[in-house]
Amino acid sequence: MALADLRPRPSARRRMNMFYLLDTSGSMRYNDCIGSVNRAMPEIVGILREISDSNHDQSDIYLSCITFDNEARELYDAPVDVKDFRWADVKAEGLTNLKAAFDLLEAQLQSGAAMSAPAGHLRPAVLLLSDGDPDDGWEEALDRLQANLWFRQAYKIAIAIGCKPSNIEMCRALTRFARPLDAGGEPVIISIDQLDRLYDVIKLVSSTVSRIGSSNAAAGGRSPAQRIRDAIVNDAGNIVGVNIPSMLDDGQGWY
Amino acid sequence: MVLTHASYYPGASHIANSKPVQDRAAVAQVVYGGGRKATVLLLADGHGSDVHYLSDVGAEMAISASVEALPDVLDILMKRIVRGVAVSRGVADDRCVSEFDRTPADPQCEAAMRMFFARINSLWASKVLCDWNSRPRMSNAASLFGVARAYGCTLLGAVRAEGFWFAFQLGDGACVALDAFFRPFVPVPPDSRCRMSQTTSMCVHDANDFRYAYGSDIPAALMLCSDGLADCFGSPSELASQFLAQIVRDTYSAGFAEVEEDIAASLPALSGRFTGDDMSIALWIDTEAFSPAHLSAMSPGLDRAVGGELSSALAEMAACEEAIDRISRQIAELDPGCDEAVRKESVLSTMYRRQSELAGIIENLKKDKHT
Repeated sequence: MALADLRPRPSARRRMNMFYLLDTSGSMRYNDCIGSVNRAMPEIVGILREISDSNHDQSDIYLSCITFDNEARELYDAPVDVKDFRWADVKAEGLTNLKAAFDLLEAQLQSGAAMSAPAGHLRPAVLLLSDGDPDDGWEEALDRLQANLWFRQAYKIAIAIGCKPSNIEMCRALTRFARPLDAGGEPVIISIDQLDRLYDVIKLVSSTVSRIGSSNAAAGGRSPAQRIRDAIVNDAGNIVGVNIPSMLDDGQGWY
Repeated sequence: MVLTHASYYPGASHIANSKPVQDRAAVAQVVYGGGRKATVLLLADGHGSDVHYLSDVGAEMAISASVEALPDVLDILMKRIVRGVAVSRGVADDRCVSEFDRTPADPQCEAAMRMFFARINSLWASKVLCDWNSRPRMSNAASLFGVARAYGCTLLGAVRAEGFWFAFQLGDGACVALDAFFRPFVPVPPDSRCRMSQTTSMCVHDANDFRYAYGSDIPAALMLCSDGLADCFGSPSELASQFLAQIVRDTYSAGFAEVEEDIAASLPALSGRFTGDDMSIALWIDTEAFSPAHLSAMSPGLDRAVGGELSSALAEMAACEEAIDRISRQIAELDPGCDEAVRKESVLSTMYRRQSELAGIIENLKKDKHT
């Protein structure tokens, strides 16, 4: 038997997990934000399939979705290969229980749960999308999440919808969430003022993160985290009504 | 007779991106202790990204720095390693990021080892500066990212000396071995910072970030490889029990020349099918260590390895089938085409895909077991 024949096994493809944390509180109905999510997600799947099929590093992309309103729930029972992923619309109602979403994500980011591909994982990506101040308790949950090794390594992107100066708690939560920790680089936060741009932003962020994150090869003298940030800043910054804010010095918010 | 081999190959993604091969591997001989000779395997994996654009040069320098530093530490080890000793030591305690990384302190040789690694770092840095200064002045990477990062690489080494051996590692890749009874083992402890395409490196980390192992019973076969090859396998143990074991078996059945040809053909093929990364390998096989009695144990040894993998594949298959059954029943209770049913059908499709993959894996393993 030739050595090359030793492992002709599909299981040896590495996996990149993408986690979507989607705010489905009642306020997401305003300006049909939830409709933008529902329209963008099926299109993302097609883009991600192409990326997964074409990358040289032979990694598969798996998707997980956690929605949060009065409580948090996993939309899919297990991470779904993007080849099999079908989106079903979500509805918006209730409060903004970000704490429960963080707890659920922490439970997923365990070797026995979502992170159990036999051939190992590339860094996961976590995309958080929210439009309002979270309910109490999110900070303690985020502390627990930030102690998780997978989360520390993950690419983290926060999308703030219609954030006003009075949304201090939302600003703090998304800023703390987006801290790169062990992934390196600078935080990636996208603030959307023109709400009809949400659809474009979700597609842009998803395709950028999956394209760069599912490949081993780096380019341009920058880390993957920095390349993701640069690409998003460059592309999202050109969309009218979308801002890439700068962090405040104390790391508690943006301007 | 001790057979040795070292080689390296460009990865599929490096070829696709017109990048040079940045791995290096070598076999060297080092003289120590007043004329004693040691056989040394060395391997370095230059980092792939553009910021490390001289990492192929850095990898060569890491190898030559190790060769220069080795005689002094071998002089110390030959006096301290006594019969029956076997030590496995990870990164220094202050570098552990989890309990997973923590290993017992090594009272015998820790200080000497850390000095040896510091010497490698120092020699490497000196070579880097010398090379950098010999190049035309450039205004790009050095000022932006620092000189050392341009040369960044990992380093693995293994030494067969008289009456003892030792191995060391900084960064990802694997050092795996088989003992005289054909049992696979992984001598050098892991470092949890080396995961998800991240690694410790010669350009950033220091003596306390090396891991090492030594002992008096020299492994009958030992192999170093870069992560391009190691990541084709589920774990280092699997790499030892399948890949290295197959090499040893083929050496006895077909001859070492044929094995070397197979390595040259197979590593690029594995890169293309799995990791896309550069591939490098360095190994020794002590043909006399495997006595006829041990050779007859080779097949049972392989059977056990295959059997272990088969058990885990069967267990995963059972879990997969249980999930398929559960989700199918849930779907049957839902209105056809409702949102929840659509989501569950997505999960079910992924489960079926995995079930099909597992069926192929199990079939192959059963074939392996019978052959």
